[in-house]
Amino acid sequence: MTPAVPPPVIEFLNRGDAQASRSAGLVVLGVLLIALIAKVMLQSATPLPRRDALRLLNVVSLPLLIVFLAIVVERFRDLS
Amino acid sequence: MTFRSPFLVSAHPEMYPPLAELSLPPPIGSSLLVAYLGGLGLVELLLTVSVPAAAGGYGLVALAVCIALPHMTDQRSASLLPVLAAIPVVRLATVAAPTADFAPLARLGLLAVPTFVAVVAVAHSDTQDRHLLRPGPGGWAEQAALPLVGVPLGMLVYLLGPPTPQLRGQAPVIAVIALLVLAVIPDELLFRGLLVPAATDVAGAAGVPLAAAAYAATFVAYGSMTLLATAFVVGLVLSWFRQRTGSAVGVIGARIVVALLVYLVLPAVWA
Repeated sequence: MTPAVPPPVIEFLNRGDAQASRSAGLVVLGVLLIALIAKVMLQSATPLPRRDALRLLNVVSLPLLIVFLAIVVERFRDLS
Repeated sequence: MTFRSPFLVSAHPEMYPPLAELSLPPPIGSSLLVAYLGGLGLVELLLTVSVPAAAGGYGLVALAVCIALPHMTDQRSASLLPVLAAIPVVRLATVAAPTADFAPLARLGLLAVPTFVAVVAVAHSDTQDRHLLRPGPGGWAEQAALPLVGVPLGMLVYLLGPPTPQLRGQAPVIAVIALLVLAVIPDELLFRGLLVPAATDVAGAAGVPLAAAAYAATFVAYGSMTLLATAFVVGLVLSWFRQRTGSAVGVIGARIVVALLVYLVLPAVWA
């Protein structure tokens, strides 16, 4: 059993629908921004927040940061 | 004069275990897990209709898990949340990562990177000792024998859900092996290494099938009940062994054996 990249996703990737992939990229950016803003707000809060809240936000933001960077690099590559 | 019930057995107070030990697994974590599975299944189903809508669904599930943290009253339920948040995040990465220009196997290898980062972040946030890459009570010998479980599982997967031939493409065998191993390890660390102990902490013995159901849910969009059932069986067997042996090393080996059998060995034998 392989890691799941289901047929609809493969079709979606192969179709190269710019509008749809932009929407998926915007979702990544939106969730990433919400997680980062929440983290900054928590860090500046008094009393200090629960450490597990910050770590939970790291779980959400770090993988999406990598995906976001990949999207940015791909856009630059398309521009060149 | 005080009333004394005839059913009361007089015993020294020290004979009673503390209340904390008598308490059942906290219900909030297990009900959260069931609700989460329903939500994840719906979003996976949404994938068959619209990929951007499913991406939004994954984002909402991940954020909803974060919002649930202040409502977790016990440590066990709270330590389940990072794993539950990581799964939709990894699925969102699968959908949104720009991997269209890559071959299918290279795509799996690339998608392993955000999954691996998510696993490291979850392991870092975990306050419990999960014995991820250390042997359990049975020692290394038990872990070394566990990949054998992958042989019948690999045959079952190949019979019920054989991979599409174009997945391998023209890649050399060494590259296929390296990419499969790279793709399988973070996936296994997430679904078995981290999810199974966290789920059993909050749901008891039901945590094993619930973790297997979460793994199977990621196959909903394939649109095949056979494949879904196969994923559940594979998840169930590997989750049971992960819980039984107390380590993720052996089940990672078993999963690698399954992948190698399904993509390399069995197609060559049956071709």
